[in-house]
Amino acid sequence: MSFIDKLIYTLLSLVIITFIGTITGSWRFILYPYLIVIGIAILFGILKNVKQNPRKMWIPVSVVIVYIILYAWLDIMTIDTPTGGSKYIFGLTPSMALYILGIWPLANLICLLYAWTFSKEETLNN
Amino acid sequence: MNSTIIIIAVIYLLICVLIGVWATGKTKTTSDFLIAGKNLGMFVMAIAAFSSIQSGFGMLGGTGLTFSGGMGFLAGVGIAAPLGFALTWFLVGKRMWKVGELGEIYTLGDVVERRYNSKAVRGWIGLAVTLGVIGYLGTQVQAMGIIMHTIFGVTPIVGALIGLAILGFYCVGGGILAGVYTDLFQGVIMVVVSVFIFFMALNVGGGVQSITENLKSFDPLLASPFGTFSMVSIACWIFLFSFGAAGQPHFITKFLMVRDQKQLKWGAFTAGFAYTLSTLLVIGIGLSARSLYVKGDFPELTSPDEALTVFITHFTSPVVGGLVIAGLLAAIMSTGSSFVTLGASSLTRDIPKAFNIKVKNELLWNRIAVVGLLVISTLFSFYMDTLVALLGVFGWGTFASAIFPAVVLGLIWKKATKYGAVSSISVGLVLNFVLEICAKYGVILLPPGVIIGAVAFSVSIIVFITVSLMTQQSNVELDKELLDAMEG
Repeated sequence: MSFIDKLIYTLLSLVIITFIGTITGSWRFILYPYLIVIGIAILFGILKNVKQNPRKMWIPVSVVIVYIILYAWLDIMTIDTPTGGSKYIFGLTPSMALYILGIWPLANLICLLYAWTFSKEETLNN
Repeated sequence: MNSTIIIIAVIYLLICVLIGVWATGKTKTTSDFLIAGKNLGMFVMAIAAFSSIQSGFGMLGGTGLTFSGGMGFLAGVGIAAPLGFALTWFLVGKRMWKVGELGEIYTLGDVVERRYNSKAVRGWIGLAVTLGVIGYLGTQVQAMGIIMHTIFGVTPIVGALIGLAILGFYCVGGGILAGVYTDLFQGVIMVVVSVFIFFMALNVGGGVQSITENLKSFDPLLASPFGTFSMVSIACWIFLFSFGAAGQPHFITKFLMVRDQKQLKWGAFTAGFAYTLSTLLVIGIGLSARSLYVKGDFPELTSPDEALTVFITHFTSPVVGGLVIAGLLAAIMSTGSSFVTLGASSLTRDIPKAFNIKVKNELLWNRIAVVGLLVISTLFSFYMDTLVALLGVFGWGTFASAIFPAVVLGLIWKKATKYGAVSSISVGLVLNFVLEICAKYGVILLPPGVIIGAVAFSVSIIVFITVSLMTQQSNVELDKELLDAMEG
C-alpha cells in the first residue's frame, strides 16, 4: 500500500467520524477529527518535500498538535462559562482572547507556512 | 441618500466600466476570455481569489449575524476562510497549475476530462457548475437591487438592471480578464474600507473593553467566541468553509490563470490575510452596533441585515459611508463577475464537449452565454422567486460536495476512478438539494444546528473513495505528464 493510499484511507476514516458527528449532532465528533484532516491536507501539499526529507513531517504534525491544544484549551475553558472567566485580556474575555489572538492568527500562519515550504522546495530543486 | 455617497458610488461604478473597456481591448481569444491569457501575477490572482470568495452575504449578512448573535458566524466562517486559502494552495495550487500546462485546459471540465479520460465526468461537472451559477447569480441580482435601491432610491428592479448592465458590460467584453482586474480594484477597496471602519467602529463603541463589558452585561454569550450560535453549526462551518474551499470553482480555476509556478508562493498568504482584514468590518460594526444597541444608543432595526447601513448612516461621515457602500457593491459584483464567466464556460465548452459537440467561434458564444445568464438570472430573481429560492440552495456546500472529491482528491489519488467521480458529483448535488428542500418545507431530517452542506460534503467524500475502490478495474493508465502534475 502506497503512502498516499494510507493517507486517503486515514482521511476516509476521519470523514466517516465527522459524518457520524453530523448525524448525531456532536460538535466534538465533527471538529476534532477535522483538525487532523488539516494536517493531512498540508501533507498532501508537501508530499514531494516529505519524500525527499521525511523529517519534514514535523510541519503538518505541529499544525495538528497546535490546533488540538488551542481548541481543547478553549473547550475546557468554556465548560462552566462561555466567557472563560471574569478577567479581561486586551479588553476581551479569556475565551474571546484565545480565539482572536490564538486560533484566528494561526490560519494566517499556515498561509505563511505555504510560502516557507515553497521556498524550501525551490532550494531543493536548485 | 446623501449626495457624497451617491458621487462615490458613481465613481466606483465608472472605474469598473473603464476597467471593462481596457479588458475588452485586450481580449482576443477564448484563452483570454476564460483564463486571462494565463498571464496573471501573484497579487492580481490572489486578490481576485479573495474577492470572489468574499461575497455580499459575507459582508452584509455577516455583519447582521454578528449584530444579532455575536461572534459565532465569524468563529466558524471567518476563521475557516483564511485557513481554506492555505489548504487550497497546499492541496491543488501546484497541481492545478501544472495540469493547466498540459494543453488547452481552461475549465474544470477540461481538468477532469484530462484526469479521468471521461466525457461523462466533464458533463456532470458542467451541470453542477451551471446549476450553482444560476442559483448564486439570482441571489447576487437581488442583493444588487437592494443596494442600488438604498443608494439611488430607484426600485430594486431598476437598481438591479443598472448594476447588471455594468456587470454585463465589463464581463461580456472582457470576460475573466475584466473580472479579475475589477476584482483587484474591488478587493483593495474592501480591505482598505474594512480596516478603516474597524478602528472607527471600536472608537464609536467606546473601545474594546467597553464593548465587551456592555455585551457581557446583556448576555455573556455575546462576549464569547461562539455567540448565541450552536457549537455544531460552528464546527460544521469550520469543516465546510476551510476544507470545502478547494471545491469552489470560481476560486480554483484561478490557478489555471497564473503565469508561472513561482507566482503561487505568496498567493495563499495574500488572499488569506486580505480575507482576514475584510472580516474586521464585520466584527467592528457587528459588535460595536450591538453594544450601542444594549446601551440604547442605536436605532431599532426591522432586520439585523440593516445593522451595517444604519451604522454607517448614523455614525460615520458621508465619505466613509460612500466607501463602505462601494465596498459592498464590490463584494457583490466581484462574486457575480466570477460566476457569470464560469457559467458561460460550462454552457459553451463543458456541456457541449460532453456530448461531442464542438462549438465554433467559442469566444463569441461565451459572450452570448454571459448575456443569456445575466438575463435568465434577472428574470428568475424578479419573476420566479420560488425557482430562485430552489436554485439558491446550490451554494458553497453544493460546490464543495460536487467538485472537491472529483477534482481535488482526483488530482491527488491515482486510484480515483470516473465512477467514483460521477457518483460523488451526483450524490453531492442530490443530497444538498433534497435536504435543503426538505428543511425549507419543514421536514427536518438532521439534528438542530447541523449544516446541510457539511453532511453532503462528508458523504460525497465517502462515496468517492468507496466507489473508486470498488471500480478499480476501470482505472485508466495515467501518462507521465499527468502523473508529474499530480505529484504537485
